[in-house]
Amino acid sequence: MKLKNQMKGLYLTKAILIPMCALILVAALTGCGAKGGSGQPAAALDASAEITFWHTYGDAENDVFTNEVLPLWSTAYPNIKVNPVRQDSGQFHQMVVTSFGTGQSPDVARIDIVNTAPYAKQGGLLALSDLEGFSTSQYLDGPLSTNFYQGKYYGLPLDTNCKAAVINTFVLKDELGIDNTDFTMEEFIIAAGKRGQYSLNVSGVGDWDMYPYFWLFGGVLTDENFTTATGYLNGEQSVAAIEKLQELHDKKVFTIRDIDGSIDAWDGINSDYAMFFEGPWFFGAYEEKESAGIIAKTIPTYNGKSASVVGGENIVVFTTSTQQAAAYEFAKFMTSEEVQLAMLKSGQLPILKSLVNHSDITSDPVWSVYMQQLSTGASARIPSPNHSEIGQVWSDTMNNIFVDGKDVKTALSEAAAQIDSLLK
Amino acid sequence: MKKAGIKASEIAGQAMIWMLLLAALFVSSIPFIFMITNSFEEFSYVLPNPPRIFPTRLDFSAYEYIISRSDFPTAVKNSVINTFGTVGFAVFISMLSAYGFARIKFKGREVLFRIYLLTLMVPGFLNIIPQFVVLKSLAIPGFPDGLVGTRPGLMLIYIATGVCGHTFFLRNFFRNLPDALSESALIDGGGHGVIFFRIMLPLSTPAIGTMSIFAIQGMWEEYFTAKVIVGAQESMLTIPLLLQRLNGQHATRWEWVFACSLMALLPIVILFVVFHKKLVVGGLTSGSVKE
Amino acid sequence: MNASLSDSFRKTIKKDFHQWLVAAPFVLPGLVLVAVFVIYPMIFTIRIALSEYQIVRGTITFLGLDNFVKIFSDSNGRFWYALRNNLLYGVVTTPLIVIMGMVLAYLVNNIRRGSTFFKVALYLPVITSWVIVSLVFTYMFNNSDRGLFNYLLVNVLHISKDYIPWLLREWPGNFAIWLMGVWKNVGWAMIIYLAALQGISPSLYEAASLDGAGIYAKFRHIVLPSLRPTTFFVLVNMVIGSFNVFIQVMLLTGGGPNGRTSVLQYMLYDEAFNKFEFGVASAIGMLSAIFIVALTVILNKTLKLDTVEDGGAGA
Repeated sequence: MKLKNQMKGLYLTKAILIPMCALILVAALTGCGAKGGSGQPAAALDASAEITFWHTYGDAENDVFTNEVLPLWSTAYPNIKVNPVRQDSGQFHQMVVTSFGTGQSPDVARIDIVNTAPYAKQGGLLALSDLEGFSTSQYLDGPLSTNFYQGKYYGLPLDTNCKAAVINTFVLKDELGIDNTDFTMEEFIIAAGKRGQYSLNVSGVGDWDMYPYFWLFGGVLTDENFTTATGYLNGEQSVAAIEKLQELHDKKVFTIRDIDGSIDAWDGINSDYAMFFEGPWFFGAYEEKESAGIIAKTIPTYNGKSASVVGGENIVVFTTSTQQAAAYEFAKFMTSEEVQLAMLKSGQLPILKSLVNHSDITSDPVWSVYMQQLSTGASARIPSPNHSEIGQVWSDTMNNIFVDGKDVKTALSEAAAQIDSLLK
Repeated sequence: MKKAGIKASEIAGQAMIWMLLLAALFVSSIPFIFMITNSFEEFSYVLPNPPRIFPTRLDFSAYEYIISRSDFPTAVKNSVINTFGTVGFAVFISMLSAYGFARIKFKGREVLFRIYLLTLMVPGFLNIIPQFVVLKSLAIPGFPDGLVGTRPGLMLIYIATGVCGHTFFLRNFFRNLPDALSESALIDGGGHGVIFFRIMLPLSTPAIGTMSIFAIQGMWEEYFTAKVIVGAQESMLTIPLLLQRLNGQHATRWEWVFACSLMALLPIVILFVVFHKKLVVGGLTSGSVKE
Repeated sequence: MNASLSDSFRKTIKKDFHQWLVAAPFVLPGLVLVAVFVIYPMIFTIRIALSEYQIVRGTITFLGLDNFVKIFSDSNGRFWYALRNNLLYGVVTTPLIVIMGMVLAYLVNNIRRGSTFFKVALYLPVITSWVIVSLVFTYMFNNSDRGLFNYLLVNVLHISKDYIPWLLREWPGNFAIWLMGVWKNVGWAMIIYLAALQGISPSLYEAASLDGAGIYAKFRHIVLPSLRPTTFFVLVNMVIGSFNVFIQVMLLTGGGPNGRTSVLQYMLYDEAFNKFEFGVASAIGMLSAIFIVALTVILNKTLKLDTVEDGGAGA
């Protein structure tokens, strides 16, 4: 009863609009002063310095980094102290974005390759190719190219990976009747087609998941210089590639987990699937893969060609750093042979040409496969500051095709037009 | 004869109530049962098939793992200090404000109060960047580089963002207290300070307690602000940040996540079990609708 | 004449100043904090909504309403889907929360023993953090047979033949978000109703009992009318709450597929922190604030009439 009396003359009604208008007015009148410019002159190297390094290394990588790499650094550069900050990977991009807004970016950071161009476009990264002593010749081309934006390099490659085929040899043999591991995609498709149950799994329709298939079956995203998608993404080859995937999907050879609700690949590879494509971390998380018959192989060729998508991280220096020289020195140090070999122990594949045939790699049944995949057939995603939007266009389009049954040619043409405007 | 009839229907009614409530309880507990069950399992990164609803074993190794993590004590310590520190300050400042708004007439009071009200309706998500910039520029003695990455900085934002809501709630409570008490104090020559500390404070313990408990719960689970303000300081790690760290990039060990979640939940549940009788939720209702 | 006017003016000023002096020790500490950490950022946000904000350089270029035009004219209609989902969330979950909260409160209030136990136990979902709840729901709505719901539907109850990819489809995804909203909030509504029920005078019940009214009749004729103001309070809160849906969307569906399960807050987050579009994000923030205020005002206008005029009549 008491409550009801209190109901009378509700507060909110008339009152709120007035202060709201007032606030808008104040906002229009006051200029909340823009922040000052950034980029202090680089400090000389011989002076003592302290730099902050952001990374998202997992437990294993962090151990190697802290116990082996950092001591190497402090021996070589006793004057420069590195403060590593371990961020969780889920919100790392958002943290960097926020730090741009607040001017509290670290001096140097390990970032996903796809974010290099977007950060560079925002003006957050230092163009390393402007600095003295910059050279590119020692790096593998694929990882290096992800640092390139509008004529300059904004970072150094730090580690690399790609997708390779994860194969359950038992399922392959018992269910598909293939008893070697050097089969082609054509052979796999024929054998799997007879099985009547999904043999090949992809998690979702995003670029990282679908590009390898799209490329494998002959699809093309853009021209070589990444300036236009129309005529490529909606070209005959690309339409055929998607239609091939549709066909395999209809024949129950190929399943898209996020669309079919099928079992996750990490799980299903133990019993249901014969193959899926995944990064090297799949093998890092498991110990006794081989005894279960699960091995890594380069992605089987289709029309004589393999394909995969390049992932990995770059190391970049931020424009707001007050210790740019020291930060750059640290970035170079992280790409040195010694450090690259140390980090390899935790599964971080090196980006140096000189290490491709190193015995540590060639002797390892997993790493050797991934390095081989990287050198024989693996492409980078479109390097663009609009990476996030392009990725969205791609997955929207795939959803339209695979879920809503939209006409492939029409869907790809619309996507190509949207991507064109994002590439400008 | 008639009496017995009433009793029988009474018993039937009670039985019905029990049945319905037990059913509701079961449905609402499924996620908790699920969490508890799965915190005893060992997943090695894949989910079990079929899904486990009831425990198949009693294994506390996930809990042991979480407790033995070197960052666990840090997270607990920080969460406790941040939560109680924040709530203490926020509630005290809000009580002062609420008293001001409820009991002292001053020009512009209504407009100001409406602005407070308005801030409660606007999504506060984007505020983080200007907030951060302000903190950075606050170079007070002892913190020459500003308050970013420090506990006082984080708590300052927590307190400030809590003030509007708390003030709103407490103001209505103060207004509902009888005027006679404070009038007599004014006549006796006591100022507002006297009224506030001698009369209002003791009378409003239930309201303050209720609000504190709600505030504690909110602070305990806060993730985003902590991530931005102290995310770069390992020594400032909190429990929600730790939980997010367990939720891996490529794969998640669910038993760790659930074990940690349950441990994070426990103090809040205990708080409610202990204090639930003292909560004055009625005040909460009148709070929002009352003029 | 002149003198007396300025005199009275001076008097008013003096009086105002004196009042402020008295109020200052109480209001000022809070006001300073709110001004610096809440109001200033809000003004900043409004300014950004009308500008292009280059976040690293810190440059703010005035654009006028361009950001709003951009939002409304997006070819994929993401904003409209997000807005639709906010409204749907409110329309679907609010009645369920109100009804279930009311019924549970009535039951708990009438139980002879164990009311404390049920009260606390049914309140548990409310005090569980959204992040934890979202993690559990993600797991339960897993797309394959590893998910609890799929397992129950397909393997146990045989209602559906195929596993449903819950979190990856427009309607199943929205359903999961709604279900979580209901589950999380029913306990809250129950506690509020419980407080209101305990405020109903026992004499009313006694009178009704003497008249031979059963549980249902009591509920219909005594409880329901007395709960109107509380219902209004719960309603307003739920409607405002439906515009603040965020974490569950981020963690359950990520707005997918194609933004069909997105909501305004998630879209705001995505624009700002994933795409650097702070202007657009701020504009979305402003729009959702306007919606919340408008809805509150409308609800007040319509429902107030109702409660004041025939609230006591018992309908």
